[in-house]
Amino acid sequence: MTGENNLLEVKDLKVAFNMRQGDVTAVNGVSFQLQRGKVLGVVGESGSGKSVSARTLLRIEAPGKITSGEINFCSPRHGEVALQKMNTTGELIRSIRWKEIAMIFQEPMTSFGPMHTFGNQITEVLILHDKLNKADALQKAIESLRSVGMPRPEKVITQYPHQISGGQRQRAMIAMALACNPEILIADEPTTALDVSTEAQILEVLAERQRTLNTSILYISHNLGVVANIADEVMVMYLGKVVEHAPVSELFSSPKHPYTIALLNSIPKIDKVYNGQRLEVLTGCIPDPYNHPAGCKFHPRCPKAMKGICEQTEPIQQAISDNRSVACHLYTSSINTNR
Amino acid sequence: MKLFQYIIRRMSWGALVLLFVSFFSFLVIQLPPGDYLTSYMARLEKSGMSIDNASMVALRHSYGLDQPFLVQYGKWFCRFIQGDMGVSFLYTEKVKVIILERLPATLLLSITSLLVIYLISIPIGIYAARRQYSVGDFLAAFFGFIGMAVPGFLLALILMWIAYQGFGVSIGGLQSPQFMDQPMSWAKAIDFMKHLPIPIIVITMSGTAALIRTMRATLLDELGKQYVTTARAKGLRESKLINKYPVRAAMNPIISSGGWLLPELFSGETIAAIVLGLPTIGPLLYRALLGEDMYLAAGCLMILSLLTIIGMLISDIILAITDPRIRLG
Ligand SMILES: Nc1ncnc2c1ncn2[C@@H]1O[C@H](COP(=O)(O)OP(=O)(O)OP(=O)(O)O)[C@@H](O)[C@H]1O
Ligand code: SF4
Ligand SMILES: [Mg+2]
Repeated sequence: MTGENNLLEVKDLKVAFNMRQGDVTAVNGVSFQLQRGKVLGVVGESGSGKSVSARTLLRIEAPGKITSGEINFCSPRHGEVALQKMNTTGELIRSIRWKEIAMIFQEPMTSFGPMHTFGNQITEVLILHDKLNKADALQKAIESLRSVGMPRPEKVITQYPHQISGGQRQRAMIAMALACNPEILIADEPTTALDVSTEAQILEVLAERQRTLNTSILYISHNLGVVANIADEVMVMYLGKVVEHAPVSELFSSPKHPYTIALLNSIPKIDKVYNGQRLEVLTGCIPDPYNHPAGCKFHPRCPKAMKGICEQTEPIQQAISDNRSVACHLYTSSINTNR
Repeated sequence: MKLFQYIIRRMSWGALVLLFVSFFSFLVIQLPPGDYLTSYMARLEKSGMSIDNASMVALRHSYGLDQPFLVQYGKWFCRFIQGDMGVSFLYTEKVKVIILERLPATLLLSITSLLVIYLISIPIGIYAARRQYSVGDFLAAFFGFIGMAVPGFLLALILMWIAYQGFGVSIGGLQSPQFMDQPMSWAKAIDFMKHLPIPIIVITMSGTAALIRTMRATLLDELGKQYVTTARAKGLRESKLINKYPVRAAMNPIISSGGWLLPELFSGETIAAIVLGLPTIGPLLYRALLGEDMYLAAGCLMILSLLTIIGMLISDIILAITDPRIRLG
């Protein structure tokens, strides 16, 4: 793996779903690297393939299938391993799941089984991966719940999911994800169910984990504001592709891809006066997943689309500086048309 | 404590339902024109005898059949709650005695059938859901359609024919005639066990088929839920996580299915039971209805309803104990 500090390297990953109506390539050639102790933000509209990419890292992408690409992971116990080659029900990937790569899921309401207590479901991972006995696991589960600011954790471990609110359930989910101290934490819109102040607390919990335990975080969100707060780097996705990847400050100060620019313009800014002006909103919506546009997938909605180029050739992701890349013809020095 | 209140509430509902059932079954039994005596007279006339009008009226009066419906119902109900179900016209015997005679076989057959249904359909349903669209799933679905489509009495006839042709034994009822009035012995018990499979197969067929489909559909539904993905992401072994989480959740509809299976089981697939000559309550009810033997019919209906209500109560209680969402509100 290139780079000393790389924990995870994804190369040209493609994941497809075979549907009756045709194949959907939900992840269409994604590449990125995750460094130890860093937070990589992932943003993009609904359906852009953020969650599928994340699930694929744990190899729980089914019914999707990896059609090409590599996922190299620097496992602390198994050395460098190629996750894409693993048997999804095998011993090896199961020992990596949750212990080394854990995930906070997007749907807090249904992330826990309805018939078992939080105590049961959280201690399960501690008993399985950390070989704790029941009593120690329970103690650890309580601590873990307390560390994410769950009120009365001793009570919560005896409760069932339907007995607490969605916000509390999401805290429990985060506590469970952090319980085994994973190297990589994938947080898939972890704060969607929470109010703003709780969201801030949760972000603080995650940021502290990153600082104290050097945990790497893949932080997925619609919300650019949240990402700006927590991420070191940001990757912008559109229809299964990474269209721009940049350090967070550069992305916000000088966005390159027209899609990124549109996303940034659609968030209200406090210091800007909108005297009667409407916020700029992205026009159109995500195209039909079975029928992606030819050429640049963004061209039907792009204000800067160039006739004769953008609808014909798909731009490839190219480095524009040491730590930035973008996939847009505006930044391609020489356009190599293949027709 | 909550559970206790729940059970009390359920039981009072059960009592209320029973009251309604008693009223409406009495009403329905009275609905066909005529009464026991008219059908009795018709039978007499068929065999060439006749009865004069005056003695008809006297008989009708002595049976209380000339009283208005509500009076008849009221009297019957008052006696019923004191444990007196009246006398059967057909058998000229106390209804209670006739029913009690058939109760053990009815309970034995229906409870065994319920257990057999669960034992077969739950594992097959789980298998079919986990291997959706596999050969096994296809076979289970095929068996399911056959089981639902073939009427019980036809299956009974086929099985009896096979038993007769293949083994030279005629299998009807639950005992061979030579053991009928014998005290219990090993030979009698073995003879009884030999008679059991065909009725059980016939009675459980459609219920098993239905429950396989219920189990498969519910489990498929649960398998698609996020918490299963969560459990998988936690690194649990596949079979372990499936049995712990989604199967557990899918058991609920199965437990409550006891409620709708029971009436069918207690009446023991009446027509098939008649074909097989089973000494259960189903055929008794059928005969009582045909002969307009109103007290016997009402007694059978009440006992079947009572059993069903008790069965549903038990399944509700089990559900309340196993499902925290019900137990803890
Ligand atoms: N289980 C599935 N079966 C079929 N297709 C799927 C499945 N899961 C995802 N997809 C496809 O993958 C595409 C990307 O989905 P994904 O969940 O990754 O989007 P997302 O970026 O996480 O969106 P959101 O912001 O709404 O969470 C979807 O458009 C959908 O067509
Ligand atoms: S390649 Fe063309 S259409 Fe696509 S984003 Fe760039 S300018 Fe817009
Ligand atoms: Mg998502």
